[in-house]
Amino acid sequence: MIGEILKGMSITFKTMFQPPTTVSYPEVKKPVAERFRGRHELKRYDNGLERCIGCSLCAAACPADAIFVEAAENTDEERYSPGERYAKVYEINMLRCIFCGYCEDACPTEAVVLEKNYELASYSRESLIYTKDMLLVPHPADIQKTA
Amino acid sequence: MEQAFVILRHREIPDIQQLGTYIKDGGYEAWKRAVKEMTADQVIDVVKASGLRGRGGAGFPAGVKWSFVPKNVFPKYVVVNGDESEPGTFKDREIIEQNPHQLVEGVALCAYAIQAEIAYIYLRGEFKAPARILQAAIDEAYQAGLLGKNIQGSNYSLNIYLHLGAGAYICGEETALLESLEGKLGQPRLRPPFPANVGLYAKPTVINNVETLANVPPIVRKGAEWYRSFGTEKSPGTKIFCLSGMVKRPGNYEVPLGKIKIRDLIFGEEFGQGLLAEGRTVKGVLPAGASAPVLPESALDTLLDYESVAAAGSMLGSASFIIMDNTVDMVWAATKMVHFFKHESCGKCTPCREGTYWMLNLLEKIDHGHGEQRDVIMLGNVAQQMLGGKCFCLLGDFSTSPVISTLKHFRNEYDAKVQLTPDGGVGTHGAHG
Amino acid sequence: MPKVTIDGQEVNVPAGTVVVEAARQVGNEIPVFCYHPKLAPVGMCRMCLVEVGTPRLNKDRQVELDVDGKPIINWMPKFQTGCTQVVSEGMAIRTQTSQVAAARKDVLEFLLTSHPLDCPVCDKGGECPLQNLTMAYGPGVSRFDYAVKFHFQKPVHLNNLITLDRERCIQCARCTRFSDEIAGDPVLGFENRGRGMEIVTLSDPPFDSKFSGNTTDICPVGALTTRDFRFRARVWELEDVPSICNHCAVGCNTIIGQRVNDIKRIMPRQNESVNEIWLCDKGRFAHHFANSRQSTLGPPVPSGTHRLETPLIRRGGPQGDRLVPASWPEALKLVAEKLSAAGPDGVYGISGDRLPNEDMYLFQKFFRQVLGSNHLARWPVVARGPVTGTLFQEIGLSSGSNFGKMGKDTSILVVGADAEEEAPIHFLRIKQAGDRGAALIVANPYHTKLEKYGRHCFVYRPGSAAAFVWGLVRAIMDAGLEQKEFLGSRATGLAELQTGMEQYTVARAAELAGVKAEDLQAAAQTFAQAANGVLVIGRELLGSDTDPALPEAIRALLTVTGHIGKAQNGLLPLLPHNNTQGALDMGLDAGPEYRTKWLPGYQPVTDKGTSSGIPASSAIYVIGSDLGSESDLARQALEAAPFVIVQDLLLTETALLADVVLPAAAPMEREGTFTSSERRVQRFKPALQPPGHALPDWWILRELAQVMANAQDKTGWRYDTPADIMAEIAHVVPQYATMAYENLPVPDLPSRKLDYDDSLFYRGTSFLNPGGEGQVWPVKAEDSAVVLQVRWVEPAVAGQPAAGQTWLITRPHLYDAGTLLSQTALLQPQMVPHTWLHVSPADAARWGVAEGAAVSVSTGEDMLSFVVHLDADLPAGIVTAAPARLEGAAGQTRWPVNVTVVNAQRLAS
Repeated sequence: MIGEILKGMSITFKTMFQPPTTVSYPEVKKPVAERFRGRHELKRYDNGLERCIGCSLCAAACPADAIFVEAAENTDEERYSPGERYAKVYEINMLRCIFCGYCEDACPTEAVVLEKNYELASYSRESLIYTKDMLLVPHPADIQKTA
Repeated sequence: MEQAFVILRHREIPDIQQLGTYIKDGGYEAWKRAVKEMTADQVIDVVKASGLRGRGGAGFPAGVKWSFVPKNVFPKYVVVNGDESEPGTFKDREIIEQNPHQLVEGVALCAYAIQAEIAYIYLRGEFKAPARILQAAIDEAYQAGLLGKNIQGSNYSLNIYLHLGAGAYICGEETALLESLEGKLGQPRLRPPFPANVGLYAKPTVINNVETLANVPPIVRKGAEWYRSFGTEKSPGTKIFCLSGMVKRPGNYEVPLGKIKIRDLIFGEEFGQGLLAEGRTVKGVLPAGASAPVLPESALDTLLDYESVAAAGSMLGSASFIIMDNTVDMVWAATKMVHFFKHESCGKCTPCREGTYWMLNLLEKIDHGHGEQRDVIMLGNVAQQMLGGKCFCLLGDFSTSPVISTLKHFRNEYDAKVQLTPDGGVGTHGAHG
Repeated sequence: MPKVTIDGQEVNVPAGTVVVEAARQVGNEIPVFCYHPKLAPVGMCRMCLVEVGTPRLNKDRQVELDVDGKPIINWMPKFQTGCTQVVSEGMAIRTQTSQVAAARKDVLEFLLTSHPLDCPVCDKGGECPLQNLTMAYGPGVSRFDYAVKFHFQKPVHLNNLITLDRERCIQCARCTRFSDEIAGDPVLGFENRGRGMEIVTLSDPPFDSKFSGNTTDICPVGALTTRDFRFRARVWELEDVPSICNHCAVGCNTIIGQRVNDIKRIMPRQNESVNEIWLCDKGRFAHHFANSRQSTLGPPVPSGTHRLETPLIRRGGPQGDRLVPASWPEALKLVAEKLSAAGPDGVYGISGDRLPNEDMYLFQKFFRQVLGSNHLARWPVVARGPVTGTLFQEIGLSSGSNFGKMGKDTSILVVGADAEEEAPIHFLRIKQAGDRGAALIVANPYHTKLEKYGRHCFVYRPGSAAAFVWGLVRAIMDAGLEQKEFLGSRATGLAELQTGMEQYTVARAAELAGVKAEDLQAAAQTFAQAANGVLVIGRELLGSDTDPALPEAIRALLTVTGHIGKAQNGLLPLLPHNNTQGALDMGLDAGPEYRTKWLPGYQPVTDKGTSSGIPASSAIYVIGSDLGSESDLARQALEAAPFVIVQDLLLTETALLADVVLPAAAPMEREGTFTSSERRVQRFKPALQPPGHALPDWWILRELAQVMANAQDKTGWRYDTPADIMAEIAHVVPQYATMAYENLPVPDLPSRKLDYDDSLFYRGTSFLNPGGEGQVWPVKAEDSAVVLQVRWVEPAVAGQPAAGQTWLITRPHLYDAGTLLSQTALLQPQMVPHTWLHVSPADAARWGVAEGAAVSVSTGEDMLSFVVHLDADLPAGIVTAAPARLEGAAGQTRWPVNVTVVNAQRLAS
């Protein structure tokens, strides 16, 4: 029986001198896998136009019915995306989302991309419906200003 | 072999465009006799017996066509197809400009044969000068009492109207011509019903080519037997061959059918007198403008009649021979021809509208040296894909002829083009290039 | 019936059938784009290629047989188009061979070379025949270089309703053929040629058609789409609800495409007895009243006309009286108190004729049972004249009639009706019947579009319709064309009629009506000799000041010709609204004296009434009508009344006069039934939630009755759903005996399948409607025991318009700028404002006025102000104005004025 105890303790001692495997989140964050599927972002083209054309194919592909899209028509005065159509309303309910990535697959313009952010806790259900301005990446012009 | 001037009478009688000269040569004799002495069926019978075949391209017997027209539906119309738009064709123009009365008389005889009281002559839009000459001839005929009300004291009346098209190749197709004449977009009609039953303004209509009708007056005047003395059993009469391309003496040559060979037409002393420069050889012959498949040099000994040319793998059609010598880049030539068809496709049916566009894209790519071997294969596929009843009318089928025939006979030229690098890819464009 | 063999299956099909249709009979779909069963085939798209062969004949023209005894087939060397190839005896067709499959693939590849493949943004995406057929028959990949695709600038707005994307167009000509062949508006055409060929509009204003929306349904790609639906939803996100159009009285079957409580689009639902697969632009686009707050297109809707969400009560305050929101119990209590206090003789009920049957039934029941009053009327006043409901239920268009089946053996006589403006789909179907060979006879006081298709056309003198119809009767009798056998057993009074008409010769009638006697005789002959005859009458003859001789003339005409009591025969009135017929059936058929003459089911009211006109002191209850905006007289009456209750969708001008406003649910927010002018009872289903606290009318009436009635009476007002009310109607109204909801099937849509059903090939995005055709109740004349009484009544001799005189008549317009229609901003360019006076160019020249000039005209009693609108179709001496304008403006004694002599004055130009 003592043999068993010593055997167990030896493992304990051995690991005592090895570096810890845990990280002290949130001060330290572990890098995520390359193909990690976190919170969605709506991408832009280099010229700042939105990639999303409001086609609703992501909503159609979504197995959890988490995406809601309403489209509208671009005008020359008010242009959001190339072409005729843009997403006036784009909402993802993060409580429903199962992060399967089907939306990304379905997207014909590579507008919706599941990025690395997984910090999605909140105090209210309403705030977990991410609207278009929350999902859209900043306009390149704005980034330059802040930089 | 001598030329025989049944239609191109002005080659023998220079002033024949004058009414007086034409009448002196026996003109309007047939017409007067027909109106006074012959029944309509008798006129049809003479033309039937003569074996005259339509000179517009299809070669359908004219008399038979006339006999399809129902007897008891009125009004009926004669429409003359003078929309001479096939590349390399210029025979109707010469008839209209030089021997207009023979055409007018032919139109009148045709109208009488089917008992139509209105005839329309549809000329291509660019024929403004020929139209003036023809109109003058028609006016002369009216003044001479040869047209109009109660012609020559009979109770038959006929009015002939001239109409200029707006410049579309497709309007040479008879039903598209009818649409155009009615003021609609020039697109071919569904057949059946055929124009003989439901034609212009949904009434029985005979449509014949200018050259066809110009043959009629001498036939009626001199009889079917006389006409049959020219040409062969199946292709009687003479035919105007429009010779153009790289020959010394291009022009119209009227020759009895089946009597000379393509080689004679190119090299004969009274015809083309050979190629432009010494040492050149014939590379390809287009027997019917852009529509017919190219014939290679090996086909030069083909006799010039409908059957022989068909047997050689092409068609006689409007007999507009374009001669290409060994300096011609056949890929370039095919590109030019397909460009023509793409430009002239009316857009009614899918395969022709899209197929000509696609073929041209591929040909330009290959011709400019940007093509790959798979483009050549695809070009052949696309052309084949348009065949087999897929196109609404023959324009679509014809548009594939330059591609399929050049791929068949000159595949090596395509292969040479696609082996070039893009920078070195500017092809030699022949004498015309 | 030629026998043909399709892929080895033998089938007999009618002569003249094309291969595509024959193949459908054996269940073999041949894919098509340009072919459409409602249009003449053109063979343009080449998608339907098949292999065709005919039996080989020997010298004796006998079919040669092979060793197995089967006919030897000569196969044609080339493919044939299945849409144009007509079958012949013994023909063999192969639709499933690998060659055919390859041909389809080839044609699809060609089609896709120029197609922009912008399906993700295309409104057709998801219900697109090109998508579907590509999935089923097309190549998986394109060999065509994407970079060299043909490009057009896009989009092009063909008119304010329809958008064209030229890149997507596959040049099938369905739209141009629809406009030419079906709508009779040759306003679309092709321009240019080859790949550059594009659809253009040839009219000014552009794409000038009342049926333009249908082209978007039959377009097999997304080339034509509506502005209304543009980018508003993807089709798979829509919930499709079967409904009935709530504008005119045709009763078109529709589909409401709904998403998040908003109507995204309305499309036709196939009903071959009513609208086939068509819908007019008003029915398709004028739905924005339901959600008028959300209107985003065009100019803003009139202010103050947003949907009512809570009851409103007028209260005094520092700013004076105004309507303030209130709770339902509060509002109902107030209404109940006021109505009780007013007593049976002090209450007045005015019902619009757009409400469903159930609501109108409860409204009259509420008045008669709970209030004990018979003071009920229906607005508008149209169809309250001598020609009215009782006539319709006696000799109306017999059940089993279908304009879609009328042809050579039928004559359709249209009198006093501009069918295109009053009932567009009836116009379409009458025109089609004419195209199939039916003899159309068109008679109006002005020119109408139907004349283009008429065999006999008349422009009679205004007000002389009765003289005209009697002239036809006399001409028929003179020619001995009356149906003697039929008359012998089914009619009385014929001898008296003949005696009475002795002085009334055809020449006299022609003189009175201002038409030629021989034309009248020819038309009479055509109508009498046709095996079937339908008389269509419109607004012109339905006014309350029309000639009292008119109903007798109509009855006599249909009786002597025997065009009565059997299918495809009878009288069709083009009633003004979606449920005018239902209002008549529910006992809301008041005459000018403003009290109902009938209980539901045309049982006469027997109690005595006293007042006539709207009494000065009463509580007026208006339900579903904006009479205040249409009639000055009604407005004055409402202003004078001490207490006014208005129950409506919007805060209308009428509602602004009310003391209590009750918010009602729109038709698409509840279920119910409408009865069309063909007396077809059709059910519709709810598509939306009502806004705020709005409730269906029947619900409000039930609650009110429960508040007012004593405990005992309440048992009679326990309706849980409209079905309960309809069950009661079926019990009370004999004509509706079989109309309980279980007998009015509105089948749910076939669930959207992911495979390729028939409708996607042939019908664009219209939908199938298996069985749900509604039910028509039979008229009296269909009972062979009923004997019809014909009577001679001398037509009133209308005054003769003399030189320099101008006659003002009413003329209805489809886009009449009414209260509901005005909510659709998209349709503003089409509107015909109430202020317009249509004037012929000759009269305008005589008056010295130009387009847009203000004029005032006198009727002798009233002075009316208008804006001049030139109309080349009007005969000189006749000016027209909107019915609502004239009915509202004229003096009390004859307030639906049909014809009035006016003096034109020039105010300004």
